[in-house]
Amino acid sequence: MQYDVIIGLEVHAELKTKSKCFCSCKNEYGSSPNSNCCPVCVGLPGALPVLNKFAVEQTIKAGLALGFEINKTAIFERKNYFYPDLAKAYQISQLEKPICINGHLKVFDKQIPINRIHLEEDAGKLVHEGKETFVDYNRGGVPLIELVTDALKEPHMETADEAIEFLTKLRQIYIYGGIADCELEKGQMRADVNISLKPKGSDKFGTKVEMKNLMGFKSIHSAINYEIARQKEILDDGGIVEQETRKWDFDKGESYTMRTKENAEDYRYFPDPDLLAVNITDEDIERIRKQLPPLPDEIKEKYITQYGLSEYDTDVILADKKIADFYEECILEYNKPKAVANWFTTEILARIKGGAGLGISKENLVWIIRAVDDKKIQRLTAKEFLADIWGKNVDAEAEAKKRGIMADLSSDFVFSILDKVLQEKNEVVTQYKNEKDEKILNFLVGQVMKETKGKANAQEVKEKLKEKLSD
Amino acid sequence: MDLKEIQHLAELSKLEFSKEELESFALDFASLVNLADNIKNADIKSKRVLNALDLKDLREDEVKESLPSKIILKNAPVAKKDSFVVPRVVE
Amino acid sequence: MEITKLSAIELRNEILKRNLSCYEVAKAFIDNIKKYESYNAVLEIFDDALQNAKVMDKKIAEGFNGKLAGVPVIIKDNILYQDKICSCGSNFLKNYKAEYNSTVVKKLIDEGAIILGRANMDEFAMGSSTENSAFGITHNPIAFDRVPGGSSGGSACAVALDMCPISLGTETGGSVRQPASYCGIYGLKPTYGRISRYGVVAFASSLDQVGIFSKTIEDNALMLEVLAGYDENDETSAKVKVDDYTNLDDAIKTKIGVPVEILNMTKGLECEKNFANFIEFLKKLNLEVVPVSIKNIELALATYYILAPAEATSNLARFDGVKYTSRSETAKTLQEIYKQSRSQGFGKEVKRRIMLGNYVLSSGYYDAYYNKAKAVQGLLIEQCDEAFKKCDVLVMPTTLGEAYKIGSKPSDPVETYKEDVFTVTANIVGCPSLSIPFGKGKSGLPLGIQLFGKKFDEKTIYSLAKLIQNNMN
Repeated sequence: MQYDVIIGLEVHAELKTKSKCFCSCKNEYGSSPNSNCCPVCVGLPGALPVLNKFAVEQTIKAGLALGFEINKTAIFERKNYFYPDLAKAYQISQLEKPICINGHLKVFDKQIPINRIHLEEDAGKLVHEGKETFVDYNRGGVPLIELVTDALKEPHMETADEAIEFLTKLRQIYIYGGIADCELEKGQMRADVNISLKPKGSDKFGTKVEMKNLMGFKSIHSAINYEIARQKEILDDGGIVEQETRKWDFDKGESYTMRTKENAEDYRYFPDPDLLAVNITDEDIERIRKQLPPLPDEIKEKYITQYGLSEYDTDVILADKKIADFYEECILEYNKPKAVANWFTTEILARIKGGAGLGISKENLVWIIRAVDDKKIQRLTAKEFLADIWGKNVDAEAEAKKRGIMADLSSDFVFSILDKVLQEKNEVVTQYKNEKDEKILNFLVGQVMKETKGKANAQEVKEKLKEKLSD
Repeated sequence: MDLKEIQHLAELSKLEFSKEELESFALDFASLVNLADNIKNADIKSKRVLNALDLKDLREDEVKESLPSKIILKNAPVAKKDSFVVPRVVE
Repeated sequence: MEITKLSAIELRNEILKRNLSCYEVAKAFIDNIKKYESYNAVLEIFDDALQNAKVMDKKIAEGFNGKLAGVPVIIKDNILYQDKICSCGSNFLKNYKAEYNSTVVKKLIDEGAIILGRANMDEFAMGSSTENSAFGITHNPIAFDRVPGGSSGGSACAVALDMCPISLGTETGGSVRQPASYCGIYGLKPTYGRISRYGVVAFASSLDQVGIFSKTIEDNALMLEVLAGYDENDETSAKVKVDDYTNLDDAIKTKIGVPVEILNMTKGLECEKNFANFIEFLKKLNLEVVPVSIKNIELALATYYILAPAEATSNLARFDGVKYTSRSETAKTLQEIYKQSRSQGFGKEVKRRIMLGNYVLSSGYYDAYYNKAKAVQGLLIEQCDEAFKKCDVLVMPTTLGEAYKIGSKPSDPVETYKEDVFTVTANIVGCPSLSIPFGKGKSGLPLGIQLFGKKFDEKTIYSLAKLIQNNMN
């Protein structure tokens, strides 16, 4: 049987702020346990939350970047449940009046509707060792935005690829907007996925199954495909999909039941009496809109139309904001966007993909690119040179001179070498004259280049050789 | 209110009661709910009052010193490795 | 002069004039605490109180003249004072030592007060008699076999028995005014937001306020002046100018409003006659008395017993045996830690309110109870605003009658809750209300009258109270 698949996403991202959402402790990853804590974020008796203005502004920014309406009044509610990572036994969140309502994100050719983005506090971290669980509240109270797609509206996400594209684009928007760093391995961006299937064309929604504990896009992709297959199998066998929450086991590549509908939590939401509602004016929204930096779609447009880059090259450069920023810096120094982009998509990205950081300064890179364009260095030589000085604190120009790799084609030196090679490879020369085979010519070019230690311009050597041998 | 419902409230409250306690609670509850029910029938058109702050008046995003973890943990029934400790919660 | 009979203002004056030392003042009051130990008003005399008094003497010699320089103060046991036990009258927190200072304690210390000890209270401030304390009942200072009121019964009793000139209590639904009435002293519940709640263990956050007990109106006003004001650690504290409360004008012509519904509610109660006497008294002072209406005030009690438990349920969830409360020794799993620690730690009344709170918040009941109660709250606020268009201060009895006998309330908890019928409205609408001693009950025990003012207008009720105080002697 054929089914329509409906995929919904709930995406959590930790906001980039200096302090936590409801107290002035540092919002910082990786500190020693319980060192960024105060009475508020550990929920000590008598402690009271005080809302961070910038956290609200960051949430508004996220909303504006995704075409949301901003609620004029935002309310914070308490979501009550007991768990050791939740210091107060309630999480301050938003239910009735989230900061952002009704947005959308374009995924391939679909405009995916998003229901809301609300601001809440993150929970602490649990570390399980032996028979014990250790509770660290450093992350507790870190501002977190939760985005929820609107599965009730068309169009839906239907495949794992679409979901991953949604997440990839969302992540880029958050990063480019300066809203969140979204480092996946630090858990700064996490997603819950819900999936339901219905017979193709039916207007009745199927039972929704939620999947939690999805860290990293790879497990999200596998988990979605696993769940679609699982539900298909149940439905094909005439069974009923149970409403439940499932947990994804990354190592085993399968999911298992975490919570069924019967023991669903009753969170007893109610407005947090310690916090006042927040009034957000049109002036606030316009002020924040102006603070929003250019977002990936806008930059992409510029790269393609103004810089003349291919869509592929654009995507490759924009995939990592650090690279894109470096690219822009280089363009400012040397306004040849296409030439610079070529170096990025080949040399620079390959090196960074290996996990190494950026190993070259803007000045050195621009010098090398310019030198190649000005034919002062042979392209191949330049590439080797770049590899050589990668990660080293040197001045490219001085180093190139020191190494004697600058091109020196016009001198008699190159001609003498050329003659020398023609003499030595007499047989080959004859063969070329008979066959006019390009490969043979290239061989001779190679010989000359070898003799000049790569200083000559191969193209020009080739032309000179051609000239000589056509006599 | 039946005992099952009281039991559910106890679960939400993370409280345990003996059977006698539960029965006594059920009695009290009838009376409490009776009191609360007074407002159920009230003919109210008024809306909830919302006290609000303007965005610009919220706390600035500035870091202040945290408490030393030693103080954070000083009342903990069990603490090790600068952390609160509970029995392992996941397998 | 008998030190412990002096008011806070008199004590400060004598101390600053060097006629008395902080040390001898603190010592005299501590002696009284010990003398009246059997009343069980004070749970602990802080062992550094006398030492702090000595340090204060030195500071005063160097020119310090804080508003409470050398004045001994007792605080309710739910107000955090760093490194001191703060038990909230509960076994659950009997060993809990505050990690930090509440804003009010900081202010007391800054102005030179000597905090002598912590006062007994109903567990987590839930009760109207101090019979719900895990550390024993506090006795009425005038009639030992009666309750002092609650939940701040210890703080009220301490002032009445001269253990300190001023003490702090907390209010959620009458916990300062009612014991003040039973103990024959002044008790103020300020406007919601007037005093920071930071470091005060929460019962119902939208209703809680620190309150003040005193024997004179001037002392009460002085303390409010010290404690009032915006606090960046409490978003609900108000950025409203703090009046100069110590400069009270008792010649001010206050217009008095009497809610007609209150007259109906007092019918047949012990307070009925006294309230009528009070209105006559006001008229004799040439004050204008007008009838006003708070039409739905009879819904206030039900509203209170929905909103307060709802918030309390959530506020008390943090006491779970993981972070600071004692952990049940028999518990092995996390769920056992939660359930056993809480079941062993909380007393019966607290459990009852946690359960009630969960009931009104739980899915399926939320709209019928919690949301409806919030709507009634909105309505009562409107009705009070309307009433205040016709008058400056509302008056009503504080309690049904005089203090009742210990253990005399029937087992039905609602019978006890009805004690709060006159006091909860001020908390629900957020207005200030001061209970002043006026008249006696049938056993000759004190009764109280509430002066219920406009928001942030404590000054007018203080001025009226001063006029009344001056004309009673």
